[in-house]
This record gives sequence, C-alpha cells and structure tokens, in this order.
Amino acid sequence: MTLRAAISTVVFSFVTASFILLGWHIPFCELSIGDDPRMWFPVVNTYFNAYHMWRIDHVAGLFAQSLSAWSAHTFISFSLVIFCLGTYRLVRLLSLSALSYTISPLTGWLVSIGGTLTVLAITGPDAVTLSSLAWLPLLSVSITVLATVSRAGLALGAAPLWLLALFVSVETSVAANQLAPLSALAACFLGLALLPPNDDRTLSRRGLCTILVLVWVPALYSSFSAPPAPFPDYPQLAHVVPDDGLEGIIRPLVGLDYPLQVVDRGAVQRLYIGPSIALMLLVGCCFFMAWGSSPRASRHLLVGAFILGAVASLDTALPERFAVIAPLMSASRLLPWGTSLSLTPWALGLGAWFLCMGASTWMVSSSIRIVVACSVALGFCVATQSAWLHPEIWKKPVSALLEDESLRKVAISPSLGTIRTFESSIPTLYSDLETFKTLSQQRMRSISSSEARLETEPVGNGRGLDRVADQSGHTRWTSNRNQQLGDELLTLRFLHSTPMRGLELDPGEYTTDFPRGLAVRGGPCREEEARLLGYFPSWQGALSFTPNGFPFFGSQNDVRILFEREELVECVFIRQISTAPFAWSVAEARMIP
Amino acid sequence: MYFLAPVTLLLALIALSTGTLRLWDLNGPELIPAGRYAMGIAILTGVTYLLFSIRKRKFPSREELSEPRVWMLGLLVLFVTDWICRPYAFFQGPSIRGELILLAIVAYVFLKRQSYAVMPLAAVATALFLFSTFIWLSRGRVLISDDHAMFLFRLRLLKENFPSIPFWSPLWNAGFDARDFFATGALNAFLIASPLVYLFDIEKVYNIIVAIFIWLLTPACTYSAARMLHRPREESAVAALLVMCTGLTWYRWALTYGTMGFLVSTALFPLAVGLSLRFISDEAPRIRDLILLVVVVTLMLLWSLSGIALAPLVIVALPYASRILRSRRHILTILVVIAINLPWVLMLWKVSSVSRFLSSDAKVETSVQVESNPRATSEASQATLSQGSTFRHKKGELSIRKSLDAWQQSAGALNPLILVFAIPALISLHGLLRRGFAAVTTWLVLLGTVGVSLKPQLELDRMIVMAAVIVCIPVGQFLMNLFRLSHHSRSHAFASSIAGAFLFTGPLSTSAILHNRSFDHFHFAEASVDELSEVIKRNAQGGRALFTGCVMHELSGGHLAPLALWSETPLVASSYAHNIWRYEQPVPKSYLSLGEQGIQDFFDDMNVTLVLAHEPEHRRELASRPSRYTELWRGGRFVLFERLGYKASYVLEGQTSSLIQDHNSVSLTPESTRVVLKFRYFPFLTTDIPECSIRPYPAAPELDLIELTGCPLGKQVTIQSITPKERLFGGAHSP
Repeated sequence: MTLRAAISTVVFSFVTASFILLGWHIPFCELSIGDDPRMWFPVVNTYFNAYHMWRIDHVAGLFAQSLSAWSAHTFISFSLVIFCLGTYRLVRLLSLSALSYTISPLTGWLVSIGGTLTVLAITGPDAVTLSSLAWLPLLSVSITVLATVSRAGLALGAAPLWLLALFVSVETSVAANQLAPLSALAACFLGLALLPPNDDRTLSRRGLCTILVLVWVPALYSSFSAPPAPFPDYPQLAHVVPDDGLEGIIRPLVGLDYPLQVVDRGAVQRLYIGPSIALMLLVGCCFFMAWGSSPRASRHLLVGAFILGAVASLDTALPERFAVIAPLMSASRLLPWGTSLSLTPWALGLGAWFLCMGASTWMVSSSIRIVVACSVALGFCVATQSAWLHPEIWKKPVSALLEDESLRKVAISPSLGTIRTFESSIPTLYSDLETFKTLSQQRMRSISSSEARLETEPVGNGRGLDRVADQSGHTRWTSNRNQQLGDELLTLRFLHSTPMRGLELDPGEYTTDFPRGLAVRGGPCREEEARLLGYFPSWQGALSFTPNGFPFFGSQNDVRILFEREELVECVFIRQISTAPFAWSVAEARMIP
Repeated sequence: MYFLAPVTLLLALIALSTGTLRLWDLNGPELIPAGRYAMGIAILTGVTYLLFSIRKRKFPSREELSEPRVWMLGLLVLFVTDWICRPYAFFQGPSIRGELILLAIVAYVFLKRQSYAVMPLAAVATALFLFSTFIWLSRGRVLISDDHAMFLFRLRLLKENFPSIPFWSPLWNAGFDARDFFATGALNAFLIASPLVYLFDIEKVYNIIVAIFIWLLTPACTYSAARMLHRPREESAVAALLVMCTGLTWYRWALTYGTMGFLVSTALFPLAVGLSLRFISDEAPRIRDLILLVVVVTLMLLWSLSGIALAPLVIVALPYASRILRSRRHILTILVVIAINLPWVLMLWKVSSVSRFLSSDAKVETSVQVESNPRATSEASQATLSQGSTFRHKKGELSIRKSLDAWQQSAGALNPLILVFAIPALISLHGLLRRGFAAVTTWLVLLGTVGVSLKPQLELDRMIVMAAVIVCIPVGQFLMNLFRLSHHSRSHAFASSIAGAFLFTGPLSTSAILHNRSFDHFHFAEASVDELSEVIKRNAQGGRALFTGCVMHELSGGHLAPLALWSETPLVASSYAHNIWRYEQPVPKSYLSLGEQGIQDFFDDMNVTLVLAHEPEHRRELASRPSRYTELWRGGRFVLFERLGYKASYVLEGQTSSLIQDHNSVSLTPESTRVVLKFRYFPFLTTDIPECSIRPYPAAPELDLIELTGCPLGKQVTIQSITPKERLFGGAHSP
C-alpha cells in the first residue's frame, strides 16, 4: 500500500467513525415500528407524511447489528458507508476511464466523503431516500464495468463480475424497495453515460439487454412486491393532510394505492423549494464556469444535476395544478405505491451528489480547489436545507406518542399529518388524544342570544346576526359580500364570564360558505389581550376521530374548533383570515362549555 | 396552402367528435362553444382550399392529405382541452398530461436513436404487464361482472353437453331452454378455450381464459393480420400494442359487460379481414391460408352479429368476382364456410325466433338472449325499471342527433391516437388495402352511429369498438412511418415524440382501467358469493331456493346464473341472466292476484324451501311473517329465509320413489300411472321410454308443468330434450 493510500484510508476511517460514534443531532425523518430486515413494516415521514411499508435489506440488517453499539442511526450509517464506498469506486473508475488525469486515492476519498455528506445535508437523515441511493453508485460502476467488458467481447469470461453485479443489483433493489425502479433508471443512465467513448466497438444489443435485465428484474420485483400498509378505516370525505386544492384524488396508473391522499404536498413544497432552486442555480454557475474546460464525464454529471434540480424545482415551485403534471409527480404515478412517497428528496439528493461529483472531478486537478468546491457544496446544502430552518421540526413531541404502546399505532399512521397540522393550535394533542376524541364526539350546545351579544366587522355585515343564535340551521348570518376577503370579524360578547372548551360555527345548509381560514381569540373583551385559542390559516375541517381513535380532518363545512384547555371567556373574537369566492355564513353558533 | 386540406379534415373530425371544447379542464374557458363552430371553420378552410386548388388546378396528393405533422395537431388539441378530462376518456386527465409529457421525452430519446426494434419488445411487455396485472388483481377471485357470470355458466354447461346443444336444463326456474349459446357467441369462446375448459375447473381458469382472449388472442391476431398483409415486424408490433389500448369501450365490453362472444369475434376480426383481403387479392391462395380463413371466419361468425361487420368485404370483392368464381380453391372455400355455418345458423333462426327479435318492439322476455348491456339498468333509474320501461329495446328510428351523440360518446372513450390518426392512416394506404380497410371501418362507424338509432336492440354501438380494433393496423403503419421520419426535421421529431407519448401511455392508462380507476368498474366474486352458495347448499333440503323481486347484478355485480352450479341447488328467479328489460317478479301475475295465498301456492308449485330477498321491502315483508319464514343468513344485500311448514317434494300429483336431476335431465321412478312434476314443460321434451307420454299440465295460465302418463311403474324414466337434429328438422319450437 502506498503512503497516500494509507493516509487516505485513515482519513476515511476517521471521518466515518466520527460520524458513527458521534451520531448527529438531526432528527430522524421517519417513524417506524420495526427494524427486522426480514419484515415489511409501516413507516411515516414526520415532515410530509409519506406513509408506506418499508423493509431493510439483509446486508444492512447484518451490519447494523454490529454498528448498533456505536450509533443510534445504524441503518443510515450503513447506507452512508455503502454510498461513500460506491462513490469512491465511481471516482476511481472515472479517473481510469473517463478523465484525462488520475485522481489519487486520498482525493478520491475526499471527493466521495464530500459527496456523501452533501447528500446527507440536503436530504437530512431520511432513511428511505438514503437507503434507496446507497447502492446506486456501486450499481452504476457495475453497469459501466459490465458494458465495457461486453463491448470488448469478454462478457462470457467475466462470470464473477456478472455475479457481483447481480448481487449489487439485488441489494440496490432490496434497499430501495418501492423506489427501486428509480434507482435502477438512474444507475443505468449514469453507468451508460460514463462509458468511455469507443468508436471501434459498440455495445451489442444482447449485452445491453442482459445488463438491463440484470438491473431491472430485481428492481421491478422489489417495487411490485411491496405490500400495502395497514390503513385506518377513515370515512368517506375524510382527509388526513391539508387539501391540495385539486379535484378528487390523483390516482396512480400502476399498482395499488390508498383511498385518500397521504403525502402533505404543501409540506414537500415548503421543505424543498429552497434546495431545489439553489441546486439548479449552482449547477448553472458551474456550467457557466466549466463549459468547454470540463471533461465529458463531468459535464454529463452536471447536466444530470441540472435536470434533477429542474424537476425538483418544477415539483416544488409550481402551483399544485401544474405540479401534478410535472415530472416527479408524474413519475410517482408510474411506480407502485409511488403516490404514498415523495420523490422530491430522492431527486434532490441525487442531484446534489451529481453536482458534487461533477464539480469535484472537474476541479480535482487542484487540491485547493477541491476543498473549496466541497466546502461550497456542503455549505450551500446546509444553508438551503429548509428542514433545518423550520423550527417545528426540532420539536419532537411525537416521540411521546411512540412511548405509549396504545398510541404508537396512531403515530405511525397517516393520521400523523392531521396531528401535526393541529399541533400549532393544540400543542398537547400528541399526549392527550383520548380526551380530544371524546370532545370531538361531544354534542355542542347552542349559544342563545340571552347569554351573548354578537357583533361583526366590517360595518354593514351585521344584518341577521341574531340568526346565529336563533337555534335554527335554516337561517344564517352571512358576511354578505359574496366572497371572503380575510378581514371579517365576528365577536361573541358574553354577558358573564363563560367557560368554554370548544366552539362551532355551523354553516348549516350553506355548505360552501365555511370560513377558509380562522383565528379565534378568547378572554377579556380587548382583542389584543385575548389569548389565541385556535389558528388555522387554511381551514381543513374539524378534528375528528375514527372509532379506532385515528384523527382526521372532517369535511370542511364542519367548523368545530376544540381548545387546548377550558377557557374562561368574556369575549370570543373569530377572524376569518383567508380569501375565497364564497361568502362566509354562520347558521348557528354552538359551544362546549 | 396544401396543408389546408388535412386541416379541413381534422377540424371536421374535431367538430363531429368533441362538441364543446374548453381550455385545459372541465371548468376552463370555452374554446369552441359547439361543434358547429368548428364545423363552420372547417367548411371555411375547405372552401378556401377548394378555390385555391381550382385556381392552381392541382389537388392534394395522398401524402399531403395524410401529413402527420398536421394531424398531430389534433393530438395537441385534445391534450390542451377538456377532452382529456372528460369522465369516460381513455386517458384520465388532467394528471395524465404529466405522464404524456414524460413519455414524450422518453419517446424522443428512443426515436432519436432509431431504436425501432424496441417495438416488438414493447408489445410483448405490454401484453405480459397487462395480463399479469389482471391476474394479480383478481387474487384468485373469479371475474363475475355482469355477463361474465353468464358465460362462466354457459362454459360449464357446454363442457358437459357440447355438442348436444340446445338442450333442456332443470337448473333454473324449474327448467329452461338452454339455447343461447348461438345468439351470444358463447361457442367461439368455448371452442378456443376448450383445452383449458376440459382440463381444469372452469372457475379456476376463467380469469386466465378472459386474459388470454384480451391480451394474447387479440394482439396476436392483429399482429398476424398485419404480417399477413406484408407489413414489417415493427409496424405489426405497433398495431398489436395499439389494439390492447383501443379505448375504454373495449374494456367496458370485455371486462365490465363480459360479452365474451363479441370479445372473441372482435379479437379475430383483424385476422379475418386480413385473410379475406388476401383471399380476394391472391389468384392462387395457399391452402394453409384458406384453412385458416375458414376456421377464423367460422369462429368469428359464431357471434352472429359479426357477420354484418364483414359485409363490406363482399362489395370490395365485387371487382374481383369473375376471377374468384373461376378459381376452384376460392369456390371450395366459400362452400366450406357455408357448409359449416349453415346448420347452426338455421338452428339459431329456428330456436331463437330471430326475425321476431329483429322486427319487434320487444316488450317482455326476448326470444333471443342477447348479451346484456348494463346501461339498461345503470343509466335508467330504478324508478324507470319499476315502471316497466323497455329502454333500448324500444323501436328505433333514424335520427342524426342520436347518431351524433352515439359517435361522440364512443369517440370520447377511444384512444386519441386511433381517433385522430385513423383518417390519415386509411388515406395513406394503397389499393385493395385502402378500399378494404376504409370500407370496413366506414361501415362499422355507420353501424355504430346510425345503426344504433335504427336498431337499438342490437346494441350496435359496439361496432365502433370493432372499427377501432381493425383500424389499428393502418394506424400502426402510419405511426411507424411517422417515427421513421423523426430524424428528417425537428417538427417531425416533435410530432413523433407526441405520437410516441400517446402510444406508450396507452398501456399505463389500461393498467389504471384494470385497477378500476376509470369510470367503468368490473367485479370479481366477493367472499359473500361463496358464503351464499354454501348456505343454500346446506339448507335447501331437497327443494329450490327462490330470489324475490328483480335480481339483475346483485351478485357481486354479476348475474345469478352460476349460483345454481355453485350451490348445487336448483334456483328460481325472475331472471338468472340479462334477458328481461323491465322490472319483473318471479311470481306470475295469476298467482300474485290471489294475494299471500297465491304466492304460497306458487312457492309450493315450484318446490321452494328457501327464499332470498334483496329489496328492502321484501326483506321487511318476509321478516314480518315469523310463522312462515325464519331468517337463516344475511350477507351483502341478500337475506336468506327458510320456509316453515313446507315439506319439499318435486311431485305435485302422483307418486315417485326417487327423483334425480342433473344439468340436462331429470330421472325418476314413477309409482303411479300419472305423475305431475314441479318442472316446467317444453314442447321439445321427451322421455327415454316410448310408452311414457309427456304433456303439459296447466298449473296456471303462465305455468305449464310436466305431466307423465302411461309410464311403467317402478321403472326409471329420464326426461330430457330431444336431440338437436330432431329439433332442427322436427316440429318442436321454443315457447
């Protein structure tokens, strides 16, 4: 072993060990109820509510046991190690075949560690994304090697290589599960794009077909064999994540799906819009600087990064009615269970890796440049990782749910999306689900005109206010503007201090006239002194529960707001804070005392 | 200016096919308020073009008329308008636009590399994918949707009785004339699937048989037809791929309605047309082709309506008539086809009273049992049913409005590739091929539009499906020509990518249909069907089970027919198949007029021991009489009651020592000289003992039971139908 190789190995080992030993203080993206490599278990993403079955590949399971003494996130650590090794092999392969200069082992390790950390930084510790990417570099290497061997007419004599490639292909598929076809597709593109040009020999159709079969059969099998996750018995018209604004449910063309949408598209867009656009811009900068001077392989990688950044940007930046026909969401409908996952972190992770690899291999001739490049890439990823900038992800009260055996099934279910949406109004919802279930089923009593006086703003909308308290669902008060402008205020002034645990603003038979957004304050009769009892920038429906205790949003015209605790109120200020081309109507106001 | 010619045709097609067009989705702004506006523009461009042509004294060539880049604009129009978002569209918009864009990119990559060899692979992969998806989704449950239940029943009966058909069967309604094998085309499905039918339990292989017909027989016949007409392998493969994705209507008839006779005939249709065109054009056709022609045409004709689909080929053959009539091989082939098919056609004509069916405003039970059309029940409200509407079986009249509506409904469910490219594809053909395909396609479209308004009882709208299937061959050729042009210019590459996207999205859209994600749903047998069969079998106690009210698709979306086999119990219902077109009770009017006692008498005359109710009022009615009925089981919509105080017996008068019934006969040993049996009498029934005479016993004006007299005491007598030959040449008619 050369001195350089020894040093590089030590450096790599040190970085890896420090990662494993220290663990990182980044919260896990997924909650799951299993880690047995032989079993499928349900997984829910705490950020955007992707809910599906998952299985850990056997090799990861084997190594994870030995790693478990040192790391809390053993499977992620294992995925990163495999990814890093694969990246190193790919860099070395590039150095040998596609680049006009040699990359030393030390530089190779630095590039691969930089690439791995970049992916980790941009996706966060997302076990699903990381394990679906883990074997991809090695599979790309295998494809390139096999294609080279086949092109040289030596395919028959390279049986061990084929066996090794088959192992890597199977591992890629088993680790990626539902995402296996995407990993296979990316590996094929990368492996064949990095194939050095050879005018004398072309890859035969038979060789290409054999490689494609070797890669795609395990991928398709793994993807189609994923079972459905246990799904609570939600009623019709229920939803568990904020409505995406589209008519009906977008259903996949292939494979089974759930009867309602589970992925919170708004959360995906908020989370990844920054990294997506930044990735695209950074690749654009690289193009600007490198085009012409960069080697062909680097250009291919940068083009790949740009395409992935662009598709991630389309997915996150476009309004939902157009995002639904953008490439990532379209691709998700072509995968079994694809609509229960989000492909955006996968595309971003791969894009960031392509960027890192492309930029590194282009700038590798200068050791200073590579350090700068890696630092810039890593810094950019960390800086743009919206997940890190969102304070709510640091709160992990959801872990409290996991500790309680009876509540665990609720935590690892699509209902987590509902719980998280109500989190800002009812912080104790996690720990007190049973109470709120009882409250949601409690019949509310009408507020009579003798106990409270009603007022409204803007002036001129006061006609018919008495109908709110006339105990008839057929008469209503309406904002009378044929639309909601976001400035409507309805005030309940109680004659005496009244204890209140919940409030209902029933639109009665005027089902389209529910408020699109609400801010409810209660307490003393000065609004600025009143406590915020409920804040719903977008009203999704009342907190409801299935008979088995799974929370969900009821229909949107069910305007019932539960308070965190009983409040003694003199006044309640109900502000409609959103806009809609429908009036706001209240047929009857009710309360839980 | 020559582009105006195809533009005119395209606009006319859009005007006729789409009606009002909105931008992007169903709530978008109106682009074309009504079809007549588009037609107005089409006329304007047509006149402009005509004036230009007259002035220049030059008319467009076929190449100019079928310019693919212009016709591709039709696909773009459908892409950006609400057409793709309409409820019964084959491509389920609006989200499908994403897949189309994605696959346009994939198609661009493939076409740039001129990887046409991928086409046969794509066709095979599509067939495998759809076949396996369907089998996987069934999860061992048998497809029972609508008439599939009936076909399953017919296959079981044919397995045990073929070739002795028609025959009498005591399985349903105290005996029925099992003769509908001819009218429904069940024979072609049976003959092709016979290896599987005889080797395995039909219930175990029924889904596989259906899948084979749809994803093996249909593409294979289309591929073979294209190859037979000397088309290259890639073009044939594209046609085969396309034929698996012709539109939602194809899968509606194949999976939801379960019209297997039509399905098999349509699958064979391209091959029949291909062979017929070869037959017309070849001076000395090969023996192999002639044998194949006889087999294919015969199998196809077994679904009798398909005969009219082939009719235009006779006109196409007229210019070649003298040559054909001089050729011994040609004459012999024609004679063999006639010789094989004439006997069963005569049998069909005789036993099913076809002329009465064709000419009548069928009001009650129709003589010919055509395959069902569930729209009769799904679209007509329950209220209409109870009022006794005859729906589609009313006498029709020529109506342009109705014809146009029929066309727009059918066109909306077609694969856009077929809708838009059919005309240029037909134009781009040459010689006999063009005449043949154009004549057949035009004829089928006319039948499927004008024919529907004239003869609604024939359900000729399915002829559009046959037109879509047959036109896949020219469209396949047209598409491949377009793909080959893709490297000529960017506009060609763009047009090819768009067409490629629609081609490759077809299988995925079909997959969504198989997942029941379209507006048409099909059903597999639910667990309650097995439970129901088992509970009837366990509790029948030597009697029959009767279904009250009007049962149509209550058994997991299918007809009741196979339940008699699964429960191993004879059953009674207003109809076990789709052969009634208004609400009907199983109890005849004369019994009903006597009130409760009349109903009990009918139950006694039918030897009913179990009563099943699915309509709420009947369930309540039976539950409110605990002295007469006791509830045994409930599942799905059915509640099963046992009759109390009745002792099961199939003998109304006289005595017998034993009575055994199977699928086509009843055997008994009389113990008295006169025996009246609780089985329905038919004039074509006979006994195996000559001195034992069989005659009707009028139990009620609507019910003739079987009376046996003169039978030797203590000797077993078997009642069964006379032989088919005797029925054909004898005097016994159907009632």
